Amino acid sequence: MKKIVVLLLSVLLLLPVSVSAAKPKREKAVFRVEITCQGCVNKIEKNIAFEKGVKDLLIDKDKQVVTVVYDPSKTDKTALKKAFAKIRKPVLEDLSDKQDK
Amino acid sequence: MAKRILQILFLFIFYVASCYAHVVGVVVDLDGLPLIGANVYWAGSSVGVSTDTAGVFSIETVAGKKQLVASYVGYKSDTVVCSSNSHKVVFVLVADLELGEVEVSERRATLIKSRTSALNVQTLNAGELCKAACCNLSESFETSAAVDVAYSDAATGAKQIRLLGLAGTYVQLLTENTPGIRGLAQSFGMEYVPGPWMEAIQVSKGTASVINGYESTTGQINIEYLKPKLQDPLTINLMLNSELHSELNLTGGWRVTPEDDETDVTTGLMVHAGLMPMNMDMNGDSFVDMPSGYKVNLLNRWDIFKDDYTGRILLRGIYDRRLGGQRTDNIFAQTTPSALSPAPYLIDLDPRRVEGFMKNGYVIDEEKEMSIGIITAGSYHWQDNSYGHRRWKAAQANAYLNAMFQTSFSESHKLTSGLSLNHDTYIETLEGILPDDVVMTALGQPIDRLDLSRRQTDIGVFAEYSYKLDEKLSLLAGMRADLIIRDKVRVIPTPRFNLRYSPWEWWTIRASVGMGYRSPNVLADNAQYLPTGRLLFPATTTEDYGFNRALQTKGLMTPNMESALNAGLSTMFYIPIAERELQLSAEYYYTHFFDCLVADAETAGMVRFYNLSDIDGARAFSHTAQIEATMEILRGWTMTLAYRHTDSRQTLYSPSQNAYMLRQRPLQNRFKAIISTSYQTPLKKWQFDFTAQFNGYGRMPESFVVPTASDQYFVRGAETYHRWYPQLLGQITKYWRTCSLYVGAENMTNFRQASPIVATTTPFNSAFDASAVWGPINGWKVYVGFRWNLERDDD
Repeated sequence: MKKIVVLLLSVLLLLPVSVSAAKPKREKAVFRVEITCQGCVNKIEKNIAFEKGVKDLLIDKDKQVVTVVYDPSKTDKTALKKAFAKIRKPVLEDLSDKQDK
Repeated sequence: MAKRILQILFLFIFYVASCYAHVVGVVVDLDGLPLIGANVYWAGSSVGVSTDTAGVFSIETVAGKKQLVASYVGYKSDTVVCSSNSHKVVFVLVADLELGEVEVSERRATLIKSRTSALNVQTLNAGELCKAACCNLSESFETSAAVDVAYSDAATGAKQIRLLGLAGTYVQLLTENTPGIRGLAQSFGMEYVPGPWMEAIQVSKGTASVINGYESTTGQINIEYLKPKLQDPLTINLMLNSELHSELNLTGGWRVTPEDDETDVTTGLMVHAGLMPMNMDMNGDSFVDMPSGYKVNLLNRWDIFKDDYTGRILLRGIYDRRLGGQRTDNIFAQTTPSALSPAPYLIDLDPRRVEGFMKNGYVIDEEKEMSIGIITAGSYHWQDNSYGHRRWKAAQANAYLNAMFQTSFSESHKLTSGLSLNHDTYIETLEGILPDDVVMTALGQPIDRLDLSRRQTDIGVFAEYSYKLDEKLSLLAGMRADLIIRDKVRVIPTPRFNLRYSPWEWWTIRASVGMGYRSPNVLADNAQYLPTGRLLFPATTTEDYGFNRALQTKGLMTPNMESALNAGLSTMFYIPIAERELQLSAEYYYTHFFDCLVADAETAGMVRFYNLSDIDGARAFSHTAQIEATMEILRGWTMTLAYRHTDSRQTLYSPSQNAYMLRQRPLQNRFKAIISTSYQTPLKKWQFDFTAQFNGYGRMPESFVVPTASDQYFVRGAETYHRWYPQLLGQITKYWRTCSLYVGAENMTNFRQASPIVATTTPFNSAFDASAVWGPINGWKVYVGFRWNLERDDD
């Protein structure tokens, strides 16, 4: 009986979690990265897209800006910057705050 | 603040004193605060630097470049003109208030129609090539409405393309802008270019540039192989389909010279192996539907860059073996085939080829865009093919040289001129032409053995002028004259003209007109008539003209050169809809032949060869009109709708009328419609592609006998037509960081042409015919493929 109560309680407790999972939190990071050619775009697309927690990726080649939409519970800006550095496309500037204006 | 100014001043002095060949400066905003990491570069050059933490930059001067630009995200770019003695530059950038949000680059279109070229060029890049199985070049056009790809006969697996309602022989196939697949390679050449080897394919419709020779009549298809400089060090591709046809591709590119060496040498290696182990006879006509066999294809290239010199060397070798016909054995177990009466009809093909080119480019003056280019190429192709009793032994040696000089007088005027040399030697014989049931006539002995050996040398001079006014108008006018040395010596002029006008960004119109010529190859161009019992060169009769008569009387195997005029008009609209762009295009092309070699299969049991000019009032022409709409409807979801109508006619003999008359070209689809859609998830991890083709009806040759109880044909007037048929194909691709897996299906409706081979029970008689093919021979097919690549280490 006790087990059942614990189970029911945990279900009740978990419910809001699963509801919030259905509408997950998303954050946006806007980075300035040196992009000189389509090769750089491909490289970023091929690698950053497969980083943990990355949900969407938009690359503006002309403005040299990469927008990463991510799940803050799985990754953060520091981890993302590391991922960019790993593919030798270091983040030159974090424009995330400018974008919010 | 004062400290910072001091710091900047100090840096100024330091830089100015240390190096006069540098321009130094600072980039600040309106408040005087330094902008860190701003881009500073010389306009029109690739030289650029970023500012440091103090907003200071130092940039090397570049000869001829005076405009220095500073740019920074969120700010308006600024340009300063530097005179020779100005070494200190201060940029004050103003924040760009309009830049509220970042514009995003949407999914890169994989099928790009050029906006700025004077030529009507369509580029299919690697993305488009990954949409379908694309084992080779001939399969790369499945999502294109302009190019038709079909089996040329039902026995050898050879595929041929058609562009603008005419055979693929009128399209010039180029390998990195060097004439590649020509002559004997024509029948299988498209299959010799593996899909994973290609970086891009450019299809240019209508009259093309004169630089590459006089040969392109209806258009040019240029293949760009992977370049080692951009290639991954190793890519593996494996493919297997439901007929157990498997393919392996290995490609890799590496830098040879050390990273810091001034000379940049890269090399690329590509390996392709294909295996078709099974002899399948799905339609039960005793003939295998697709020959079994194997293919080996190797390529090695070297790219050299040093200062103003660019060199490219490419070497390639191919071996292809195919076994078809009435067999139960296959490529592994070549047992004595089962006894059929009197003996089985066997097909054994073994083309081999080696080819290579060397390109040298040298920039003399960058500012004047003055450069010279020398291209040399050579190939040797040989084959010993047998089709029943027929044995076609042929070899072709080709040598090619093209030397050109390019210069521009101002930004809008450019001239390219040069000379070219091309030589072909063919050693070619065809034996055992006569079918068993041939009836000797009083008019003469039909030909059983032919020697088609011949030589041709062309010496050409050319000039091409291009004019460009802003982005609005561009014009390309070319002229070449070639001295042709073959059975007789003559000069042929090739004028060509292309115009593009774009009054507004959303509207472009193009017009083109030009001449094209070709030396026909009697057998290679008409190889579909080899696996038939048709009498290839019937005895001279009263209605026989030209080529056959010349053959009989003089033993001459050089038909007249083909010559044609092509004219076209096309327009494109770029219509913005909800921040996206709808591309609408409409085009019309007309090809008019002055002379051509006609292979006339209208009469049962024979093929007549003659020159169009030998028949009074004979004509050959083709009209093609096409409309196409492409749009990215939602992010990642693109859709293309296209429709093409073709009216391609030629004077052919009608045995029932006993006269020559103007008829639709046989087996040419009168229309084609395509619906192609593709969806890619935002992170490009999944891709879904689907294409539906509707291939229109086409006229059957008069000699064709409709199989009993077949509903695939209809009769209109005096002519028999095959009906239209659908082709559905789709593919799903899953991408990972370094690999991808794809699964696809072709011919999903399982449509097949009923009895594609006529008179299979008597394959050595004149009624036997595997050439009347218009539809798929094999049914549905599924395939699975895998790509893996080792990523390049550098950036």
